[in-house]
Amino acid sequence: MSEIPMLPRRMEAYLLCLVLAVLLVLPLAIQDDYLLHIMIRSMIYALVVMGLTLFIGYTGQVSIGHSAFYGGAGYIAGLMAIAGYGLLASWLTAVAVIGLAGLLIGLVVLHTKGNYLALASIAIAIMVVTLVKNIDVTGGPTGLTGIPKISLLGYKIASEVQFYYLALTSLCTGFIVLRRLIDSRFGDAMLAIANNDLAAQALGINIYHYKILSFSISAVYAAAAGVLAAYYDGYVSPEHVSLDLSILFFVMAYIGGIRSLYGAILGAFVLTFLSEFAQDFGNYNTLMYGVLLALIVRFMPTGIYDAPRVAYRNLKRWL
Amino acid sequence: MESLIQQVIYGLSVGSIYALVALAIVLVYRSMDLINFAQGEFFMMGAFIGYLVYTQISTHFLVVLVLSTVIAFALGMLVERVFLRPLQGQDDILILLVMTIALFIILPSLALLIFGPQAFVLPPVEKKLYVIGGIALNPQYLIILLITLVIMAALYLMFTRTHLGISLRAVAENKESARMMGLNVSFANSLTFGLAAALGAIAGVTYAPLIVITFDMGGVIMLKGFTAAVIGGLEIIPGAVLGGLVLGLIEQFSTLFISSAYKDMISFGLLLFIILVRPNGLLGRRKVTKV
Repeated sequence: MSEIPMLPRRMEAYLLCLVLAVLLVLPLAIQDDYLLHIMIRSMIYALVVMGLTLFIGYTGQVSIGHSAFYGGAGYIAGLMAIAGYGLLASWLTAVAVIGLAGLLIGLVVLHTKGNYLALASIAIAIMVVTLVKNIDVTGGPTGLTGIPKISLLGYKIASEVQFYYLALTSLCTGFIVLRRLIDSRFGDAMLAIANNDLAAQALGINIYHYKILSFSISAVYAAAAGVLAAYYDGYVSPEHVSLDLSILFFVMAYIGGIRSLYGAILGAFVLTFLSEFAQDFGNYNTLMYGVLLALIVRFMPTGIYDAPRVAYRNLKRWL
Repeated sequence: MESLIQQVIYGLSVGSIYALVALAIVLVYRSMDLINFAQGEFFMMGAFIGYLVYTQISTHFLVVLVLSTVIAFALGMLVERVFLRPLQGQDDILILLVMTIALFIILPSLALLIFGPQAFVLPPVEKKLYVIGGIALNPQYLIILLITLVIMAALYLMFTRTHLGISLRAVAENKESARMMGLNVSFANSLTFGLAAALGAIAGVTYAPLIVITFDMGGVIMLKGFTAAVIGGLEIIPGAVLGGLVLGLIEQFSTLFISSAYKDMISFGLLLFIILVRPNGLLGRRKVTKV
């Protein structure tokens, strides 16, 4: 269990620049609002999934309740936006509140050994759904509607293209921050925990603190994405906190490759595109997620991000 | 007073359903070190099998119960064989858990495809209410209690008196030594999963007449079972029973005083509370891990 090595550093940098360049010119080259819409959705989800990857892949814990953070932040930001606050104020409040909530939940659940959190996270998610549907502030089953468009420093963000660049900026910022974090001592400590928590403890790593920290960070990422989604959609509904969405995040993280941030982004894009195009199949959608997850776990536990390397290795052995 | 006794009986009987589910979770956890996310789906599957048996084969309650239990047992073994066995030997401890999460997604969506989103009704054994000493009781609750007692007794005998049960316990205790003693660990895992599915089916078939059968009924039951198991201490078999009964009573009485919309919230709040104050459960002792 370790991070997947794939490319030499320099090569990775070149590739990243290339991808970034393509993403930057994409809205100019292709004026297709539908494609941009899916791209924006993918980038928002990628933010959540990156946080989840940090927590699952690097700390060896499981959470299937992250939509509670995602939608929760959406509700907070939505309420503040409707009350007339700007993007910055509502974003900061939502992220702070959700980060704190993550910290508290982590404090309660993560001090146990074993994977209690896996189930506790579902329980929390269901509690949040029940709350949101039953109290008046959140608009009950219909949710909050009429969230105004973002105005950032006097500049209105209303069109798909403008939102695309906002989402891309958020994704890049989020990626750089996480990447720096993982490359630091913090990341090493977490990988040590994921590999063998007893050994890590013996080396003087406080597993409890690190688990809570990484859980809170992943909550913050979900919150940041949730705020973006609330503004982008213009509404927040119980769907934003639903268990189905949490499952989707989890499947994205695993299918892309649970040990890699690139895998997280890849998983988010692949599944978002797939579910957009598979919408006609209706009920088959969830089944597809489940079967994909089972197949990945069975045949390619390092995810599709690692597929070329695995294929290359197998090919070499075969030749 | 009468209504108090009635509430206690209702609470105990719903609690014994939770106990059955918790028992299945504990059995799998002890022998495979795995929290089985699909346990609630076994419950759902059992209820649907019961419905099919009822409509296609026989309307006699015992036939429905026994037949669906047997079918669920076989399906449980099959699920272990197809989904979990191939993962043996992977050094990643998360991978089994994630596979049961995949089952937790696959099984209800399969049920949705086969049966559709509508609710199905499995009629109760006895339609009229029993009146005993001025207390009106729905006999289904008594049947649940009775069946649970019988199952518990049978399981107790199996795990203490039979060769098979003792081998299963040996596997749960220590896989390596069990293997060296010539026990087939893979087969034991299969059996445990079959047993878990069978318990799920028993719970599903006996509880279904009190609720309705839908494709998405498994998730909440799984969480209730897990809550019950955690209350008792996740590794302790009598703890699961105790936890189930306690949870059933707490739920029954909390719906009396608080809106039933928040019934699940109370159970899950309890789960968090227990994890916070007694992570090893009511009956559990603190464990020290040695390397």
